[in-house]
Amino acid sequence: MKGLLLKDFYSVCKYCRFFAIVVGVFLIVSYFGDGNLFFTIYPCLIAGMVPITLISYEDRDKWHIFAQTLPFTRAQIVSAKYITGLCSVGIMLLLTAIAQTIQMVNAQSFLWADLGQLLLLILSIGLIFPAIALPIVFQFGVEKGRILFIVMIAMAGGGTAALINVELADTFLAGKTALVIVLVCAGAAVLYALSWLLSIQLYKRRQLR
Amino acid sequence: MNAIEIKNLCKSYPGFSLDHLNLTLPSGCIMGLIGENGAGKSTTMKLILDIIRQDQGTVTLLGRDNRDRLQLTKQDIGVVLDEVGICGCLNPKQVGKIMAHAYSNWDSQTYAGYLKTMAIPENKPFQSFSRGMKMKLGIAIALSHRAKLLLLDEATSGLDPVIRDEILTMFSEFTRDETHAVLMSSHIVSDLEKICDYIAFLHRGKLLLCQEKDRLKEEYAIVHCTTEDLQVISPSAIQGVKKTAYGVEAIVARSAIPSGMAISPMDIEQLFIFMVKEASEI
Repeated sequence: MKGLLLKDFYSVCKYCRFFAIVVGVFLIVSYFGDGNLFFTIYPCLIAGMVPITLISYEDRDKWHIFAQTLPFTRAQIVSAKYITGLCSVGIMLLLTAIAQTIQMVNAQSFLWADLGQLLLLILSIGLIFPAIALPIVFQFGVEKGRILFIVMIAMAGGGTAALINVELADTFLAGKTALVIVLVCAGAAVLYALSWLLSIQLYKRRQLR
Repeated sequence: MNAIEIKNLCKSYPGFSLDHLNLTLPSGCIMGLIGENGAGKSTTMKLILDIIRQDQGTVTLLGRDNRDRLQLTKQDIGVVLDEVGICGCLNPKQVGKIMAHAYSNWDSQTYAGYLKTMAIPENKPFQSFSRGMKMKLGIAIALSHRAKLLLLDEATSGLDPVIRDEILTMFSEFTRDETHAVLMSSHIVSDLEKICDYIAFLHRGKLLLCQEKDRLKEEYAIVHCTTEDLQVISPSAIQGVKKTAYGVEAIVARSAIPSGMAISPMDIEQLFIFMVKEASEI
């Protein structure tokens, strides 16, 4: 398993440089922006996409076949991707937390509760999308999974815009729905765990050609 | 001990089926799996490694069923596939570090030695390598974790003759240890003829033949005669017939050839071509 994680680390360093630039731009925009949630949430969405991006490159290079010749189980191959996803979402969450803390402190509006709720909301979104997309990718391959992911991101973008339009985001940040956010985050974590188990079962049965 | 035992292995796809394949590869030997494109060589390799699920039959690798904790058995197996399969962004140095975590018997010094011997640049990404260089790296990996069994799927195709010869020598040296074995598929029959102890012919998912190479060469010869003369020979002794402008050429068991008939020695490629043509006509 360590070998698979090390391989993913090398691949992320090489293939996700462009993501790093996009994430940097979005974090800066969210820092100077007017509280638009989209710019704050989007880096974590991208981080959630990292395992799917890696699987896409692996399919192109036939690594998914080569990995079957190495002394790994299919469960380990799947788990490596979920762990890589958790790591990338975790790192992005940390960067977002730092950027948001600096912004809130500068604006003299820092509240632990606000920051916590925002981060839980972002974490939920960072987990939900790969939790839905990864089983599809492990069952049907990366192309169908990627199409679904693009559709979901478009829907998320539209949803975020709608939230902002009706000023629901402010309501969220005001902490009135803190319990809802905690429940959503717990639900996202459970969904991620179930998705992990489902992907293992699907990938064990998949015939690789 | 047998390195590989395949019994009644079946696998069906739309338009293709591997039909009750039986193969045994004893330790200390190299077996060449010969077949035209689409004969079932890669399917067999994938079934051996449980990459695709068999419909029927059993595969035993180094004494253990391939569905029983295969990841443990794979510690003793080196595999080189046609397309190698290493991620394009990785360089050989990084690949070595990954493999050190994958194989409990990984030998970094041996790996470094192969990289040096085969002139593989340590820090260049895999995607920038030529096909020959990619294959060499795949072989270096397969030989650097004290494997007992090598599975090589078209590992020499597309390589220039000099590199192919170097690589074939490595495989021959590998089987000097009697606990080692190699199963090597290729459609370059001359490569297999050079180094294999056993030859297996696959044609449209069926095993046409599996025998010791030297015995095959001892047992069969090419007969050059007329169609009428050929009728004297028992049909069961004839493996294949080719009509030429000068008469017929047939691969025939030496024991059934009447004295005085013109014969020439047979090579494995000729036997394969004759047998495949014969099988295609049936």
